[in-house]
Amino acid sequence: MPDDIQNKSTRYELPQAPITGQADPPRHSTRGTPASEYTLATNAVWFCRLRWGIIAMLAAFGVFSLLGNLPTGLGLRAGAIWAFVCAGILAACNTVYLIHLRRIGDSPEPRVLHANLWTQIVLDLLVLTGVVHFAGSLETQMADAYLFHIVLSCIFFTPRQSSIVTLLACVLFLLCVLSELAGILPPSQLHLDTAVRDGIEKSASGILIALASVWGILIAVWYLTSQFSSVLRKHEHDLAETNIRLIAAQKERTRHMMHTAHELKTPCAAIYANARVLIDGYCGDLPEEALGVLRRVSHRCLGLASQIQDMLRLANLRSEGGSPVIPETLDAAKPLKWCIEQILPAAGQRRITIETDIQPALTTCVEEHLKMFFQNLVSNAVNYSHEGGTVHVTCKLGPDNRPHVTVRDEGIGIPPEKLPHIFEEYYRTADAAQHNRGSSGLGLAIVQEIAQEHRIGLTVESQSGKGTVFQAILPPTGAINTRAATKETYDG
Amino acid sequence: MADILIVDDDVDLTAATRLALEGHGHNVRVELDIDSGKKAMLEDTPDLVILDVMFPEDSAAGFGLAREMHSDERLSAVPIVMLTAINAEIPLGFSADDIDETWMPVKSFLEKPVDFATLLAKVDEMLGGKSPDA
Repeated sequence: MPDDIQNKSTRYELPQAPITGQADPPRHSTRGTPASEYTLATNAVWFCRLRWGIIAMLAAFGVFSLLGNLPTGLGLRAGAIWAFVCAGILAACNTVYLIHLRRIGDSPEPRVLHANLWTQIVLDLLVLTGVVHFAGSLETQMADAYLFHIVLSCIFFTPRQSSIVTLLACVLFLLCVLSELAGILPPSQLHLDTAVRDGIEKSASGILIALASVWGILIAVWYLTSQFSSVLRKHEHDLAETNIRLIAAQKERTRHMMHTAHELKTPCAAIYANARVLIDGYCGDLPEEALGVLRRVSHRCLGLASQIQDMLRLANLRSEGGSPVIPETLDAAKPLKWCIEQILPAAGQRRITIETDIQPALTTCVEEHLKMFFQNLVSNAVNYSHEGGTVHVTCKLGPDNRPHVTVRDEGIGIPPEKLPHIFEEYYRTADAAQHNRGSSGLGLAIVQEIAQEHRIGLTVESQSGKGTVFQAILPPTGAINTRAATKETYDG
Repeated sequence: MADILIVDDDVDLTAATRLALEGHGHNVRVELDIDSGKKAMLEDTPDLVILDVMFPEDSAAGFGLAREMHSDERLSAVPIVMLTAINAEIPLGFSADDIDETWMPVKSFLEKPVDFATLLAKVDEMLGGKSPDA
């Protein structure tokens, strides 16, 4: 930037749009229905992985119980062979579950998947009941381990199915305690000191309180979790429905926009073509005055087509859901050079030189948006330059690893008090309107929209009568914009 | 002299385009709907087709005809210049980058309104040896 502009120019930085979170894609589930089969299949595998951790813990405890005087020194019984047995049963079952899940794949028959999951749950509860018995059913908190299965079943199953899991846990625990009291199962516990157990067993109320507290906790947790899970599913269902409606609205908007563009631009094209037929002399020579009229008609016609184009671009960029394209990693130099090539003929007509220093610089953005962005900045620089002037365009990778693009002209400039308004729709300074009558007044509004969508840092420095510099700092590679939508292709 | 077939539903635009192309020595036929266009090109294979995309009966009929031509050995060698008012800035629109032998088997894409100079240059380029000036 020349020193005189730098010393006296006014700088304006385009404010960034707040980051808006993008909701996760909703799963198609609803209140009272289980999660999708895909989710269940994924979680069935996850259960198996989690189970390896439990198996390892049981085996580790078994090994610990064999370490001579160490367990007894801590008041625990030595030789917990039951831990190895339980770990072995779980490991064998887990291997079978995993082989089965691998065979049925990601999209299994619902019946087969449910059979796998229910087998996992029931066998887990049986093995867990064994662990509860050996650890001490009444005198330890081991029965609380039933909660894992209850909570997980609330998340992935219907309330009715999770209530069956809860009921099964309660019944198994009751059978365990009754079997111990009836002497069917030999007494067993972790602690060497049997005083706690003896204390509970001495009175019926002690046993009832111990049973009731476990049942109360299991049932209360089931109720709260299943209610909470149902509310969440209802929200998920609502989100999924809203998403479907949004997609339908987007398609309708797209169809409407395409037809609007066609209906508005087609008459323009016909008027322009017919005016050009006359201007170019295909119907014979015309008086100079008539040619002047036709040139004005064709000029305004092109202006109208351009304005329609800009209005549609802006509407598309601003529409909810954003553009149907996904950001990609690309060299910012490529769309920039493309835009300059498009603008060169118009610049040549006014003897304006475009000097460039464009180096490769990778960014993650939507190429079509970058083209619109650069096209508006460079064409503005040309349009608001004086005849015979020079426009300077540079692109280089900055120290922040982001492409820095500058477009500088030596044209009419922008008064300081007008700078904050230049990105408003249809806003043009008096000088700008005088200098470029064909402007739609939407170019910088489009630039602003794209900058905010892709979080492009944009600053403008200008001095009346001396020129303007736009500096854009593009996103680094890997950046994802906030409103990117899924890519669609025209299917005819 | 080349035989050029324009398939476009806009009477006013086709009239002007016909004048410009005939002014450069081409023989021009105009058909205002897809079926007539298909019939005309099967009756007498043109050297080049200028084809619109959107027609009242089908907003992508031009694509359909281009694909039909591509898969018909009698017409697959005929170059197609797509001339349309919708473009890449419109969602589900398209641009010259989309030109593909199977998806959109056209040789060129021009956006309305188009300068005759641009159109004539493109037509000459597509025709190669059959240009009336050649």
